[in-house]
Amino acid sequence: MGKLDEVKQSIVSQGLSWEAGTTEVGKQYELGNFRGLGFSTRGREPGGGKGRLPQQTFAFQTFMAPVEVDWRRVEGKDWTTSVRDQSQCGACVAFATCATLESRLKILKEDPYDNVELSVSHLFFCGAGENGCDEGWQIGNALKRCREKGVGLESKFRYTGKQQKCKEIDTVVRVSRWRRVMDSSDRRKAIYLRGPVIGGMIVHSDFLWYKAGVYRPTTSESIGLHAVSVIGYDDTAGCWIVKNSWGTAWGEGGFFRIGYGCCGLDGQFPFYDPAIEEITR
Amino acid sequence: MNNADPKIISTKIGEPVEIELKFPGASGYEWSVSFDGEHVTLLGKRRKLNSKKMGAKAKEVFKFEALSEGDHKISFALRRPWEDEAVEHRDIVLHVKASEPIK
Repeated sequence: MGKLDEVKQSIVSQGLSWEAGTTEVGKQYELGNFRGLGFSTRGREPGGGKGRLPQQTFAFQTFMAPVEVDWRRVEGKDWTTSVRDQSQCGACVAFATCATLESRLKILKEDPYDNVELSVSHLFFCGAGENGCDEGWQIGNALKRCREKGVGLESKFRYTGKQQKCKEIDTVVRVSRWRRVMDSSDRRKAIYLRGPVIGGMIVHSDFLWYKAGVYRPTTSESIGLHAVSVIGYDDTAGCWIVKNSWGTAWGEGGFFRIGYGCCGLDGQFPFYDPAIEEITR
Repeated sequence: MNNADPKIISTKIGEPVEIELKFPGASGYEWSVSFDGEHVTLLGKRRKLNSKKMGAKAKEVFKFEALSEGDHKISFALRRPWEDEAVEHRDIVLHVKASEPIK
């Protein structure tokens, strides 16, 4: 029995509902093909209402976050940027951080069409050191680097998927401060009020075979720790909506949904909720 | 890295051989292994995660046993399940001698 068949059998035997498989070339995931995504009109408008984006204060309001937020569809617009591919290099922390900051920039400027592509290489290879690809990084250290040095544009320092030498370039965004969010309700509010956040998770071996649905691991075998950008949640389906950095051929067009309480995403690892300031481009 | 010059490990029939390889599991990659089951058997494998850093490579330890004398190739390919091409190949040759008779 092949690995894919093993994973499929485990999903069935454990009564889970996600789909394992490999995405065929040319049949990449269409955003509108699954149920339950999109910002719910049952709650208030994200960011606190039109004209109030972004709300970079860290004081949570007394109202409840809505049951569903997806920053690919807030007010009918996509506030995320393109899914990228980290390839073999363990630069997930930089990818998740840049993805989150890119969305936060859109929200800051109230312009979903302002697609800034930040330099993962600038952040990672100037911050994580000479063996970053093999050794990985920590989200807190990435945010410190963003606060002290900022991040420049991808066009000025391109990512190759292999270890690169640091090249200092002009920066276009800085993180002024950030907050570590652990409480379940506050995690939702952070996403709803201010936009995507940076999260961490344990990668189980079956996660590589994820194709669609709400993922829950079928095995306890872990193969690494991973950073991602959490772009929404859905209380009805009981899941977080997450942008990965494994290219668009994996999962739901490069995104995935993961059940609450899975893989440490909303348990042992906090959400990092950064406030940003744009530097003239 | 494509291994054009395979590593040779000398062993005896029935003697366990462990091969340890790093892999970027948090980037979606894992090793697949192929060998001739008539001459070599895979006794087991285990994965080790020693770092608390996100994105750090993990290690996979494969435990083999040779079943017959001769040179037997074990091929490893590092790939993502959803991609056709492996990004790295490694070949190991087990140079197997007969076990010494029990005295």
